[in-house]
Amino acid sequence: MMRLHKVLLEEIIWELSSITRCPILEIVLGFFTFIAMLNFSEFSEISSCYMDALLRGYSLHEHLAFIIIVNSEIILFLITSLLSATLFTRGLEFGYLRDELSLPVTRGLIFLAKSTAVFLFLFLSIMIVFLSCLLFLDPIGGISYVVLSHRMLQVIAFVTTEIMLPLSISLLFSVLSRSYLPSMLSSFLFLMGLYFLSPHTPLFQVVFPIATRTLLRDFFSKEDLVSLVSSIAVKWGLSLILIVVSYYYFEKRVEA
Amino acid sequence: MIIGRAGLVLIFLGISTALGLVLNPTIPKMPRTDRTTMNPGETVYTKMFLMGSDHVIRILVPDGFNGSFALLNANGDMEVRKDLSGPVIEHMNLKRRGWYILVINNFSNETAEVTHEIAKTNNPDWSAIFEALIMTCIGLFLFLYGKVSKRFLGR
Repeated sequence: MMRLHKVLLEEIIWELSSITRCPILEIVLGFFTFIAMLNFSEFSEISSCYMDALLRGYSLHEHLAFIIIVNSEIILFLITSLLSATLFTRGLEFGYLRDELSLPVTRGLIFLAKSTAVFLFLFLSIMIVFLSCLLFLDPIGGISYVVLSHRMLQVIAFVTTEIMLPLSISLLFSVLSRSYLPSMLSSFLFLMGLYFLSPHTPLFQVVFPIATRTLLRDFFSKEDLVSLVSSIAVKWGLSLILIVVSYYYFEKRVEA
Repeated sequence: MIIGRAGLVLIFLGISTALGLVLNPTIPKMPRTDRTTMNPGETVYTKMFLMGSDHVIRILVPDGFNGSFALLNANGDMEVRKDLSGPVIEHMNLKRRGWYILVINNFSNETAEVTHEIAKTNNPDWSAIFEALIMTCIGLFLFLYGKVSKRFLGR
């Protein structure tokens, strides 16, 4: 068991190092930061109690996390499509995957390592940008109040939920396809289609982080809670189904 | 290697932050207006996050209203304090970005509808941009240090 964990960790680090080569990570971080700062707007909360005004309304976390995710949806789709296609389809097209499959590790472990690497790349880049913007905007708050706040857990849950659906769709497209460019393009265009069509359909709650924004709040109504639970259930349910299908296809059908 | 990479990350973060802040005023944003009914003797607190130095406070109260308003910064220092006996527009030059609390008191014996908003002028937050450029310079220093130590010290 320990050996399995070690091998998985080594695989994830190896995959991560291949996708975080020199300017790629920096460009992604720079773009997310630019979007966050460009769209940041001032906000206020009214209260009839001084302590409430001081303590309850510390919503910079909510405001910033929402701004980063909602304004970077398209670039998030592009990066997930690009990375999934690079790790899965490119390896298949150029024969790297054959070398990997000849190693004494299972296909399941390779799938897990690659998909975790894509997830970690996106998650860590968003979290690095979030934390740097948070500390930049509120330096007086300090690390203990801003970074070690319980709201960080809410932000982590929100970011993870928002990454999972595009990631699972991109994974499925990259496992199904055998060529790099068509795989990347089809997955990106499918996600873009969802993005532009969903405002007129019930899919709106699934694609856009409107209902899941409640995750970032401390106080919400019963209706918000119902909407949040249903939105999370649909998002995670769809994502898990797509990941299981991708895993099955990679395990049984992909021939290197 | 790690120092050089950290430096490069800081350079990208600093430049993007500065660029985002320079272009931030070009994105139209609606000023947030709050309206509240104040009972006699009541005090209302509005906590807000403000960026940039130039702001305008607009408070709309009925004629004959007797009260006051004050703006406190995150350290508890009072930036503005004035009596409020009618509608007021106040221009403010804030010291830095961060949390502020606007306190409005109603001293009169009548219930009053109070509307207030703080609007930002279209100037970029130059102090924040300057800090972002300092971050870029620190990144550049780390990057060059990483390059030099790799080349001459073999580390």
